[in-house]
Amino acid sequence: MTEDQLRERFGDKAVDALVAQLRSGEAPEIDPLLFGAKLAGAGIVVEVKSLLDAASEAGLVARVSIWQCPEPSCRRLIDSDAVANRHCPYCGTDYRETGDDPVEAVVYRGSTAISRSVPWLIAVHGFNTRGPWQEDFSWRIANRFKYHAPVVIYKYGLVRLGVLFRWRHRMLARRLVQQIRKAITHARENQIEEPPDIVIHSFGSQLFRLVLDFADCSDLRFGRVIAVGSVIRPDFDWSSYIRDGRIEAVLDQCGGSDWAVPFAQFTIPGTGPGGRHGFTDPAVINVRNGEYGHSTAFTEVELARNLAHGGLWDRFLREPLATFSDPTRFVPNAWSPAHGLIRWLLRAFVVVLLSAATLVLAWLIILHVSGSHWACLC
Amino acid sequence: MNKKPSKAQQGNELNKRTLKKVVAQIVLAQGNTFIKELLRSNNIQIGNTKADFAQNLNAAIDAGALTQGAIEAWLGEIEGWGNQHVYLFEPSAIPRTGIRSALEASKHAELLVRKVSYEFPVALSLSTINLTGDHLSITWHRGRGGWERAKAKDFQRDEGPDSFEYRAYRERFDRSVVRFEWRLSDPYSAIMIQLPNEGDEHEKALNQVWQDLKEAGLLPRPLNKIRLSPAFKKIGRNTAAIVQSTRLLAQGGHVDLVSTQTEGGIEAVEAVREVRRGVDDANFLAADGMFSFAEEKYKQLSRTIKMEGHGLDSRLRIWVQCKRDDVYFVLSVIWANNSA
Repeated sequence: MTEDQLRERFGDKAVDALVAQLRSGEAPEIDPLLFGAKLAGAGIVVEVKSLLDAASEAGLVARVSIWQCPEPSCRRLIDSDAVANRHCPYCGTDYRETGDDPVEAVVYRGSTAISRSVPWLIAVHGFNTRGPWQEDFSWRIANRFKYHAPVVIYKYGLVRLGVLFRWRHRMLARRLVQQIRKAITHARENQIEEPPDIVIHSFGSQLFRLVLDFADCSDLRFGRVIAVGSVIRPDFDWSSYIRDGRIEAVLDQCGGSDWAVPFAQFTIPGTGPGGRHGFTDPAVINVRNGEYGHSTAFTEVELARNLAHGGLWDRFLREPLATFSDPTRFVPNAWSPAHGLIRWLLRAFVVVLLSAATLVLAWLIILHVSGSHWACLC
Repeated sequence: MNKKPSKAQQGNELNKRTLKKVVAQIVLAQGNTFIKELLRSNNIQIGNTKADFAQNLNAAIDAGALTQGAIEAWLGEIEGWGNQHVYLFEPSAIPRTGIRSALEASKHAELLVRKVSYEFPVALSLSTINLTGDHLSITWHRGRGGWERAKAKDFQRDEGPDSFEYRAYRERFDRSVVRFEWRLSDPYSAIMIQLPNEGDEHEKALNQVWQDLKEAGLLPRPLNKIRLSPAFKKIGRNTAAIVQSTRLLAQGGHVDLVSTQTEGGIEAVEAVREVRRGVDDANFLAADGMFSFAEEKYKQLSRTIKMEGHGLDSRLRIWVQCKRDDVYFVLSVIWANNSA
């Protein structure tokens, strides 16, 4: 049986629900009774065991024979050791004495990929802002997961001119490292051993890239990374960090209307338009929303949408990577930076322009102050 | 200079006929995996069924390819390991160097030369004492008949106006081994009991162990039990073990988290895993759990070990037959998590 035949026989809604169930990674096996209840709750009426049997013929699930304890009050699934020992490890029944044999039953097994739980998160904002979205993000995460998934908010102040200089990048990245290390220690003290997931915005992504590059930070591990309006170069080698276990996966949330990111390479040293072009590394999941500007993803409405159950970020953070999919996913073209001379000249021009503007401003202030002083004397 | 074997040692030498009896009663009662290993390691043809094993083992004994020494070394690894309850205790305060002399001076001194005992008396009895290097291993044996339901032999009979149903049971013989194990460098010693935890069976067995150890000059009084709840809590949260269930106990109530999956524990079930994450272990005084140590993850294991932990009585139950090294590996995992 093919999936098309399955759809013809049981209807699209039932098969879509089954596929969604398998992709969610909620549990490796499907209990027909519970799945039936879920379908009924969604108004889908179908003979569930027939659907699952047919789905096994279509290769969507595996139909596996297992053993159950024969005691009516137990009925737990038992393994081959319990069958060989003739002793239920759950209810303690000695089958040698009762003379009963384990009962053969069937389970339906989906993908072995299982979902994950977000352990804790770090949020890093961009430049020219104090990242007011971080508080909203933290609040939404606290409400989204009923267990405790703390959010570390990294704030480094209102940086404007500092983004022009590499030494300033390194200084801010070092501060980020300090905060991450402190947070890791604190998380461990509170029974959270897993590495954090991280959401990085704009210039914050450049700081995160530097953290990954620091030789003395090779012990720092991260879970899933969501990059929004990223200014990391599109040809950044994420795969090597994934291979080394430094990070688990990357979602690049691109904005089709992000007009800030394309200029990054001309003003901020060591950067590129990753948040607009996408990352060419095949390990990265690039998604694009044509409506998104540089920070649209962090507006109240969009944050709520992305973090809601089934929202794009929620699914990326929780679902098994093997089955993760999204209609906005795309594969970017190859990318190469603008000519180095052009980038250097433009950056020099911006630095000179901003320096001149600062000098003029300072001169005007002095003139104003001294003018007032002379007026007072006269 | 060759030392002449003592009477006790001579008594330990079995002839081929007796050795075949040992094979029939004890060797063939072990798991097929382990029997195959014995055959393989002695370059004996293996076979597929217990009947094949018996035939090949007997032929190897006749040909002199399988010796008593080889069988005993193998039994030492297998017999009485796994399918047992384990309690951990603080080690004895006796100086390490004083153990042998204490044993030699005790009334059990003659057991020091007996490597393996094939006797399984009806009452639990001290059977062997082995002190080698830094390892003290003392065993007690008990054999007991049990009744196994044999439905095929049931029958009904009418006597006059009455109908009678007869339910058949076949007698079986169970061998049980109780061990006191102490690797002298370990910060714990263990008592391992292959008896059901029913009624006062364990209490009686423990009392006998303490009594015999006292008579052997090893301890003046019973050792203190080590609390294992911290390990069961920790293994239930952050280890490579598969946690099939965990129970966290507080004053006035408890929380049960259970995976009903055939493969994968509560970590594989999103809803249950998230509840587990929401629990503060510090609020619970004790923990139980059913854990599986998969051989794919724990490479030191010869097979996957299913273990049940009972925090309140500081007991763990190994649900499969395995080897000595497997049991010690599981204990090392428990210990690492108990003291971390």
